[in-house]
Amino acid sequence: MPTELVKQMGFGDLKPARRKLSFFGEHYVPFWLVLLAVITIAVILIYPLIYSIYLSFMDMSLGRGTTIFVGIRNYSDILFDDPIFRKVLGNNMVFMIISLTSEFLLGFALALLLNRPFRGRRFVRVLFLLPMLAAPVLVGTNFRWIFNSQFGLLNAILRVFNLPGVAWLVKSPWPMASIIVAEVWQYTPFTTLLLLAGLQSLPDTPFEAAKIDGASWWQQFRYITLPLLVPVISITAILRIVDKFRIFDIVYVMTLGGPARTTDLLPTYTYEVAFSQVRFGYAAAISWITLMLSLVFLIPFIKGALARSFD
Amino acid sequence: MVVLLTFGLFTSCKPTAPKAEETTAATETAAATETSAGETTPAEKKFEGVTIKALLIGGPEYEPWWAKVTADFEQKTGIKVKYDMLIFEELMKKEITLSAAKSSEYDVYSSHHAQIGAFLTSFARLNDYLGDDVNDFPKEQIGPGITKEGDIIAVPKHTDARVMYYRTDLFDAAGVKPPTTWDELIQVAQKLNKPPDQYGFVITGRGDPFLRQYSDFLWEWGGDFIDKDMKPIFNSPEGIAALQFYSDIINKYKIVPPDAAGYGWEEPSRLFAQGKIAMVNDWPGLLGMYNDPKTSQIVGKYSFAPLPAGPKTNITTSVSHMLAINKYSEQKDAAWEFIKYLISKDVLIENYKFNGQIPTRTSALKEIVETAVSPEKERLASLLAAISTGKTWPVFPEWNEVAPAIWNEGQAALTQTKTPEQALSDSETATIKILQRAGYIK
Repeated sequence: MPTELVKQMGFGDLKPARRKLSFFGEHYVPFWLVLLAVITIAVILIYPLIYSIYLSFMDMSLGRGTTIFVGIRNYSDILFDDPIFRKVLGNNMVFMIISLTSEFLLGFALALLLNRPFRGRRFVRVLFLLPMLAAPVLVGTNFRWIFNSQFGLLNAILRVFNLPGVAWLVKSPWPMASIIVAEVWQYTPFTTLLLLAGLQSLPDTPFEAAKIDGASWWQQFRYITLPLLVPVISITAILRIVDKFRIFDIVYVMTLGGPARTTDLLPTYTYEVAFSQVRFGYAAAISWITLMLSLVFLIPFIKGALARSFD
Repeated sequence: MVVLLTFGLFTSCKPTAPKAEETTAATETAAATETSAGETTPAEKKFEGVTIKALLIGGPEYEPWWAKVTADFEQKTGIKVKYDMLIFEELMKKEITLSAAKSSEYDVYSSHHAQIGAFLTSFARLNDYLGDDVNDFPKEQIGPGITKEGDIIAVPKHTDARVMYYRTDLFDAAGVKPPTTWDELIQVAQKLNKPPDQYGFVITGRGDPFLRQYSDFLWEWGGDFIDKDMKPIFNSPEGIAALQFYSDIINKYKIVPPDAAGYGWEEPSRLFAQGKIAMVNDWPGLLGMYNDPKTSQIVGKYSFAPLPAGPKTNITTSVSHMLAINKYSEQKDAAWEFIKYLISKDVLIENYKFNGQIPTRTSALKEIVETAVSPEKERLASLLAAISTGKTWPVFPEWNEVAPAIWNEGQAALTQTKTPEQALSDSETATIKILQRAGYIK
């Protein structure tokens, strides 16, 4: 027995050393370092979340100075008795599907292009990523003037070719198209960046094997690149879908949700209910329903995001 | 009182096209006739060293005045005013947020007839501060700031009504006179319409600006929003005809830029200042921008006329900008000193001379009218004509929900995605729901 041997060697009755339990020990340093940040975030994030849930069950009237408990009435009114919510939800779906598809198609094309070596590639990469760095309010303001029917660049170009100008921000269906263009312009670089990172992390081996077997570019893309990129595509889709339910600045600046609510999306409708109609309880309930809806659309992509890519 | 003043102005003046130098001369003449009442004795510096914070309305017509008046106020009283400014729509939203949060960040708020209903329990009671001075304000202008319990929660500072600004050079060249009715306006605008470089008219189309314009049409066509039993009455033959006419201006007569249905307040003013529009119905405070060569290409090329009348009445919007003390302020007395200064007769007259804003206080308005000379006399006559017959929206807390229900559907009529009948019917359905939920109607 080892302990017997130790005793025979004269080291006495040794007992295994016990780890001292101390929260100030080296093991807990990371905990203390992040504790302050965690407390700050908890206060900033959790308190408003809880208050928002509380408000969603209330009818709060600033003008009357009353806050009355109404149970689930706000939620049931939104889901079953609010035609504006249904219209706005429809708008948001159209906006999400078209802009997301466009960002992915363009983003993939750009990522594939930027993945090839060519002269000036670094400079071109930086240039393509610039829109992502601009504040959404500025992007919205710029596009509002580009699409302006009197002074806008787009109509000025059309007039050069003797084509009639269009009321881009007023005449249906162009207002929705206009905000989609602004959104795609700003966020395609984000999609490109993530997909490019994914492309650059792909192993060479499967492609070399495919080339040897005579696979075409399209076959390599379809059967090797895409499957291997499923996790990156999924994560990108999750991040972008979340943003489609949060977009506000571009819409607010360009069209204010108009004309006649044709570009009103869930965040702008929530804002109007809270700050124009002064119905904070109802607005809180809309925001929680929006959150639930966004989670529903994320579900198909979660499995892909958790998949291990290179097994 | 306003009716008498207006009558006096109209019978004594002859419209002339004002030039920039004449406007300056008018201001100087008015200044030369100022009595010694214009000089103020320094106020007792009871609050010397105190700093108050104000959230004030912004925009090119307001900002220079706030800079001047706060500096003068500090010199006279020792109270320093730190202030932030926001344009109207954003100002209201920020005040709603601050009031809901019971914030004491600001002591003084700019307010307005438009959304005062949302603030009835968030502004401090001013009855004791104001005292008998309340009698120097017209009832219809101070009324919206009084709760049903009789608490005065805001005082009016200046009254807004729109006038028609028209291009004298274009009118003279075409041999036309300013229209007095909307039908005449269509005819005149068609003669001056040369798209895309020049349009005969321009109009607002979205949000609060749409509802202001539609209010004018609704009242002038003989309709109204809510009756005395709180039932909506705008979905009527008069209301439909008014909205149809509004839509026709854009879609049938095409005398405005094609995207007018998306315009707020800014676009019509800027287009007129750029020389692209022959006539615009606009607010008095735009005078500064139209007279400034840095922002205007029409300096000296325009004059004023009263707004055109409708088939039934000439009632249009007349609203007051107001001032209030934040109920949660910890410096209410000092805040009142600032408001008292801003609404004092001398400072109101100085305000008017600075940027043309019409004081609500009766004694100040009387002095301005008595000392006005051409061409300012014509502008005042047009404005006071609108103020004397002016109306504002109903004031109750839920009006803030009713307004978007009308303006969103109304814009659908302007963009022809709904007929005026459908738009007003849908607005009425939404409005009835709102009023039922609030308990006004069954």
